[in-house]
Amino acid sequence: MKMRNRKTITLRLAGATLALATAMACSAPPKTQAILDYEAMRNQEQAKTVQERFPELFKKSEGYYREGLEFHNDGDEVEALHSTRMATIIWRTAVAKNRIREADSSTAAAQNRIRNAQESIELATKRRDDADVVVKRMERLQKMQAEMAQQQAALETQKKAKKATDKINNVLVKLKEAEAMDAERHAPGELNKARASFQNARDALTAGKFQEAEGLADMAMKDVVATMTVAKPKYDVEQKTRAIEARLKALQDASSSVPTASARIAKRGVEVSLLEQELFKRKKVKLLSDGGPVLDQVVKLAKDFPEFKILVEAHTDNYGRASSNLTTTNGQAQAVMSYLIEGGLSPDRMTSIGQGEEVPIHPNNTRDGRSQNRRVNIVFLRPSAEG
Amino acid sequence: MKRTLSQLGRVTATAILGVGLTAGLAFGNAKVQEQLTQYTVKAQEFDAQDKDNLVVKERGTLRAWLNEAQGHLAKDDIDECKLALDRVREQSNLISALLTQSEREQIARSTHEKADDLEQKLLKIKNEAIRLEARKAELEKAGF
Repeated sequence: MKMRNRKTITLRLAGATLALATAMACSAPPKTQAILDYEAMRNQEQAKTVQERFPELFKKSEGYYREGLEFHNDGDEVEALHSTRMATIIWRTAVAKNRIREADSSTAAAQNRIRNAQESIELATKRRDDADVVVKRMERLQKMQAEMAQQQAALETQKKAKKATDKINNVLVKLKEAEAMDAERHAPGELNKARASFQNARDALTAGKFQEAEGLADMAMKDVVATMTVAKPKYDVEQKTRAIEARLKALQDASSSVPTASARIAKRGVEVSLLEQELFKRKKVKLLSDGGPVLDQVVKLAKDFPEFKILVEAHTDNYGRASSNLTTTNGQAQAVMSYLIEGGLSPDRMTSIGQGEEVPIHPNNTRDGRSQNRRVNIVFLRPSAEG
Repeated sequence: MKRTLSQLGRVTATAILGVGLTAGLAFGNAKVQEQLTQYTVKAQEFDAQDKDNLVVKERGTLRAWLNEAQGHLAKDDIDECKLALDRVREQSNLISALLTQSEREQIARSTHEKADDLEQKLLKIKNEAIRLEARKAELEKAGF
């Protein structure tokens, strides 16, 4: 603080002495607003801190304050105002400097926080990154495993689908077989059941219910097998019958190679009929030499159709005694059979029978009728389809 | 003669003293003016610095006191001028301190904000690390 000159000080001291004398005589004047403001400011909470931190400024401010008070008490309000202003300005400066220090201190604390945070960030980042690396590796593994499981599941599904599809296809094949056996006629109930089961299995397959489809396919297969069990024997018989019929027809057609013979398909088989006159003299049992080529053709025919057994059957008219006629026809049948055996046919295939006059095909009351009744039938016997 | 000489000496001494005093007074005024000029420049600097108008009142007071001092100087009222100059000096110190205070408080605030940001960032990273470690534990438990 720059003090006024010595003269001023001397004068002030004199004034103070006078003021003291006056004060003894009367009380001090009321403080000005400037003084009161300063006192209020100085009594604030931070005053002690300011005093501790900035003792020089505090001392200077207080010096001006006391000086101002003295001037005021002396009645010199101009000087009092100057000193009080100085005290106030210096006090405020000290307060501002205190705040600067507090701000700096706060900045330092914040910088410390920053340093701590940065260090912690470094550690936390490392911790996070380490965990991230491990987690990413694990998640890759997890993803791979999930993909593998997915692929495995897809394979399993494909396998199941294939298994069910194969089974259903097998059922379809068998169903077609059953249909080919004409199960529609031979086992309609069973076939319908099998078809329904098959459809159920196919529906389940379409719906992706492979396990169920497989079970249903098994059931359908059982139903198809049951259908075939019923249909097959009937079908086989029918097929065999057709085959036999075809062979019989072929045999009938082929029998045209036998000269003078007539052939027809009868219930018991193909009857190749030869008139007696082509083979024997009337009611005789010895073969005519002209009969040889005819019978040779029969031998050939029999060899071409080896599956048929042969019945040699001789008939005659009712001329003469019946017993005699029977004997004659037996002899004729035997003679023809013997010739055929000699021609190379197995005796096991053949039987012969003389029917006498018992089975005429025309009335015996005319010559032509009798002539037609005297005949030898070489019957290629129809085999049993069920046998 | 002796008396004349003595009178002459007295006159001379008085003249020398007068000249000296005048010269001294002139030298003192110039010095005060120089100080006033310095503070006027400083006041302009304060005007430029106080962009946020934090110390408008204080700058007004400073200008008023500078004018007052200038007025006293113009009237050769050196004592009063020096009193005003004392206030100008202290007012300058105050303004300077207030501006510095504002600047430092701003620095403190922004530094704290930066610290807040970093602490937020730290918290985020920590939470992320915790989340990842939990995930890791979960995956380990699942056999990876």
